[in-house]
Amino acid sequence: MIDKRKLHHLDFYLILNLCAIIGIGILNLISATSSLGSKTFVTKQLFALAIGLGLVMIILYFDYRIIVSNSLYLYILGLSILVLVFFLGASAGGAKRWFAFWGLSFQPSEFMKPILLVFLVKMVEDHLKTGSLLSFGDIVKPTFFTFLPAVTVFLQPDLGTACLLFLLCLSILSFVGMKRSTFISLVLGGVLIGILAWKWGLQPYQKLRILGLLNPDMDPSGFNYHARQAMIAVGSGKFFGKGYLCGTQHKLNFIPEHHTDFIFTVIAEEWGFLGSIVVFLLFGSLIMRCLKISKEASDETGSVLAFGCAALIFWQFSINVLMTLRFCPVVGIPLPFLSYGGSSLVGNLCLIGLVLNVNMRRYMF
Amino acid sequence: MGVERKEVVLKWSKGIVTFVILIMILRLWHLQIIKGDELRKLSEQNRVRIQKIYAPRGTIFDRKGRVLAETRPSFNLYIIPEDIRDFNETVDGLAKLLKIDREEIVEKLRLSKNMPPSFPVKIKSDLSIDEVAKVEAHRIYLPGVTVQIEPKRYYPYGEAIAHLIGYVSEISSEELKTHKDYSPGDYIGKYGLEKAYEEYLRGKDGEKRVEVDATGKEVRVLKTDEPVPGNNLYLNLDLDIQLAIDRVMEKRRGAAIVLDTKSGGVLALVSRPSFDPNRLVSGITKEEWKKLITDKTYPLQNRVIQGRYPPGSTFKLAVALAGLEKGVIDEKTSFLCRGGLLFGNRFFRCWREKGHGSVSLHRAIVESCDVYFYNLGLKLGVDRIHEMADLLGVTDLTGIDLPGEKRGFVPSSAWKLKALGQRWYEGETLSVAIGQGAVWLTPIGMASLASLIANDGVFYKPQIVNRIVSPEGKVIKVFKPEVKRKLEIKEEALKVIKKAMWGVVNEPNGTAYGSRTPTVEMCGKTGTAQTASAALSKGDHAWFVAFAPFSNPEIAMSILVEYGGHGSSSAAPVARLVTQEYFKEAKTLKEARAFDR
Repeated sequence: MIDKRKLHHLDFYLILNLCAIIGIGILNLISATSSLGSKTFVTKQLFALAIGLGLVMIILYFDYRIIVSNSLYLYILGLSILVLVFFLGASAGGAKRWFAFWGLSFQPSEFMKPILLVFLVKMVEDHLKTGSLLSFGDIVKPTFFTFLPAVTVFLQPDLGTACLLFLLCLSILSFVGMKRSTFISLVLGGVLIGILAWKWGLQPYQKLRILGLLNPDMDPSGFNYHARQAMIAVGSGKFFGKGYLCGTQHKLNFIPEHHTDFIFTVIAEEWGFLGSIVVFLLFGSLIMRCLKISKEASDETGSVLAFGCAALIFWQFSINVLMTLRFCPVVGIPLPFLSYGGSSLVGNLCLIGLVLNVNMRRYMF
Repeated sequence: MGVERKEVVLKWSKGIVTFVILIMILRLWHLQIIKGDELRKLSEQNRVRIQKIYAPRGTIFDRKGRVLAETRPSFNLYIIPEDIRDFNETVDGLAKLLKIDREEIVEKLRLSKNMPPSFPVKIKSDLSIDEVAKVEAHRIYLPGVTVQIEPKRYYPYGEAIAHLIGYVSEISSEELKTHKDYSPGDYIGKYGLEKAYEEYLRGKDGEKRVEVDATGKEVRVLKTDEPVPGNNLYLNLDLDIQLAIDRVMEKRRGAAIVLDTKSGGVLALVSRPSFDPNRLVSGITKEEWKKLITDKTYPLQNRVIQGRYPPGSTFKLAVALAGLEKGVIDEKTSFLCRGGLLFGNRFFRCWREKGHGSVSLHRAIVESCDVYFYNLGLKLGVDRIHEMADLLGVTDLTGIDLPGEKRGFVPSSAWKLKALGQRWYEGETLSVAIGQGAVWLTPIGMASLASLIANDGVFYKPQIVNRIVSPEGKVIKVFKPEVKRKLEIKEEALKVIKKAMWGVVNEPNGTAYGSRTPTVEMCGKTGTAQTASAALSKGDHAWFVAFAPFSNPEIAMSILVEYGGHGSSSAAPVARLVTQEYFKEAKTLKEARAFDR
C-alpha cells in the first residue's frame, strides 16, 4: 500500500489542472463526435480514462527510481510490440499503427513515449550525478535507442510520433547539457537526416503538406484542403465562438479527423478566442507545474523525469495547435487529453503519473 | 549537475513555453479577430448553398381564355463548378454522354466565371427522359453535375402565333450587361409580347438556402423564399381568326392584321414564313441559329410591323381622300380612260388594256382605274399626296404594343431634293398616285388607314394586350382604348370613299366582287404591287385592305400576300374568311367585350 503521508504530498494543483483539461476534453468530444452518429466515442474515451487512472495508481505505487532502474525491460517490451504491430497490426487509412482485439484497439507508439522517456532517463542518470557535459560519445547510446523506435514508427508511417521521439531525446540531452561540439554535430546530424528523409523517406503527401505550409493559397481544393478548412473553422469562431454544439465546420465534415488530430478546431470554432485562451493557459500552467516539480525534485533522476514529461506534453501540445493554426506542417500528433484516442490518453496520463510520483517522493532521498 | 545550471535550463524552458504560447495567442488573434469576419463568411459559404427557384412565367390567354403561352416542367442539366473534382473528366464525360460540343460546355462555364463557385451553371435545357436516365445512371462518375426540374415556356400553337407572342430564351452575355437583376441561365423575353411585357410576365424568382455537408449533400433547408409567379396576359386576340388566317397563309409568304375599329384591339396578327418558338426556348445550336437569321425568306421578321411594301392600288384610297379634301376633285369629277395615259414620251398603262371609258371617282375605286389616278395625281402633285399621307398617319408608327415597329414612307419633292439632290419629276407622281415608286408602307400602316376610314376618321392605337391579371386573379392593369388619331377632314369625303369600298366588294364590276359574303357587307380595296423581282417572274404582291360591315364597322384589316399576284384573287379571299369567321361568332364577341369593360 502507498503510505498515507506520501498521498499527502500529492500535487493537488496539478491534479485539478489536469481535471479541468480532461473535463473540457470530454465535453468537447461530445460536440465533436455528435455528427459522427455514434456515442461509443465518448464511452470509449471514458473507458480509456479509467484505465489510465488505474495505471497512474500503479505508477504511484512504485518509486520512480525503481521504474527508471527497470526501464530496460519496459523498453524491450515496448519496442517488440512496436515491431510486432508492423507485421500484425490493423491498417487504417494506409497506415499500420493499431492493434485490435476484443473490439478494442490500441496504438503502441503512444506508450512508447513514456517508455522511451524513462529509458532515456536511465541512460543519462550517471551524467547527471557527475554533472559533466555530454561528449559526442555519450550521446551515441541515447540517440541510437531513440532511433530504433522512431524508425519503426516512421515506417508505419507516422512521421509525427517519430519526430516527437527525437524531440524528446533532444530535450533530455539538452537538460543534461552537451558540449558545444556535441551540440553542433547533433544539429548537423539532424539536418542530414532531414535531407535524407526528404529525398527518400517521405511520402509525396507528406512533402505536399510541408509545401502547402509555405504556400497557403496553393491548390485550396487539393492537398491544402484540410489545412485550409481547419483555418476557416478556427477563424470563423471569432471572439466568442459559435457556441457549444454549434460549430458548422466540423459538424458538416469539412474538417477530417476533427475529433482526433484537428480537435482544436472544434474548441476554437465553438468557444472562440476566449475559450481557446483558457485552454492555452491551462496547458501552460500544467507544463509550468511539471517544470516546477522538476526543479523541486529530491534527486537528479526525478528532476530529469519530470522535465521529460513536461517536454513531451509541451511538444505534443504546441505542434498540434500550431499545425491547426497553419504554422506547422500537418503531422499526426494528437492534442494531449483533448483528442479522441484511448492510447494517447492513457500514455499521457502515465506521464502525469510519473510527475506526481516524482513530486510525491520529493522528500525521500 | 549543479543546482545553478538546472535553474538556468528550467528558466529557459519556461521562457520557451511562454514564448510559444504567446505566438499561438497572436496567431489566434490574427485568425479570429482580424480575419474573423472574412473566415466566418467563408465558413458560411462552405455550408450554405443558395438554390434558385424559378418563378413560373405568366400565362398568355386569348380573348376567350385559351392558352397561347404557358409554363411546363422540364429537366435542366446544371454543373456546380465547386463540386467538380476533375474538370476534364466531368466535362468530357458529359459531352460524350449527351453528345454536346465540349466547347459549348466550357463556354457556358466561362460565362458564369464571375459567379461564386457554388452557383449552378445551366448546361442544357429540357432534357429528354432518356437523357435524364443516362445522367442519373452515370452520376457518380460526373461529380458536380445535377439535374433540376424547372419551369419551361411552351407555346401550344407554335409557328401560328410566333411573331405576336414571341419567345423567351436564355439571357445572352450582352443582355446581362444591361439587365442587372438577371443572372446567367435566366430566361428573358426576346421577341414579341414576351419581350414587350417582360417585366409583368417574369415574376420574381425565389430561393432556397440549404445547408450542405462537405460532400455537397443537402443536410437541411435553412430558409425558403417562395417564388412569385408572373402575371397573366389576356389578349384582344381571337385565336379562331388567327388560326383561320394562318391556315391559308401557312404555305405562302405574307402578313395579315385584323383590328377592332372601335377599340384598336388586335384580333389577329399573322406573319409568314414563321419560326418555331418552342425550338428557340430549348436553345438551338449556333448553326441552326445562323441558318435562321440568314434565311432569305426572313422568317424572324414580323412582316406586319416590319415589312415595307409598295401598297399598289390600295394607296388610291389616300390619293382619293387628298383629291376630295384639297378640292381638286369632287364626287362627280370624271376622267377618260383609254387604257393608259401618254405623259411626256412615256405611256402609263391602266391595268385594263381596253380602258374604262369615262370614269367617276366611285368607279375609279371600284374598278381600280389607274388612268383616273394618274390624272388626279397630276392635279394634286406629289407634295399634296405626301401631306395627306402624313395627315392619315399611314407612315407613322401606330404604337402597337410590340417591339420593332417600322415606319412607312411616302416621298415628297423636298425629300428628293434633300436626299438625292434632284428635283421632282411629274412623271414620278404618276407612279406615286397608284402606290408605286418610292411608296413603302407596312401592312399595319395600311390597316390603320382602313380602320380610320371605317371609323369615320377616328383611329385607336392597336393594342394586343387587353389586361394584365395577377396570379391571384387581381386585375393589375387594363388597357383602355386610346385614340391615336382624329382626322379633321370633310365628312363627305370619307363617306364617298366608304361607299366606293363597299362597291369594290359588292358591285358586280368591283375588283373583289368574287370575295363578297352573303351575310355581311364587307368593304375593301384591292392592290397589286409591282415588285422589282416581277422581272424574275416571281410575281406581284397582292394587297387587300378592308373593313366590315358597311354600316357601323367593327373590324378593319389589311392582308398582304408576297408574290401573290392580284389582290383580288389571293388577298381578298383571306379577308372574306376573316369576316365570315368574325361574324359567325359576332354575338359572343360582343358579350366578351362587354365583359372586358
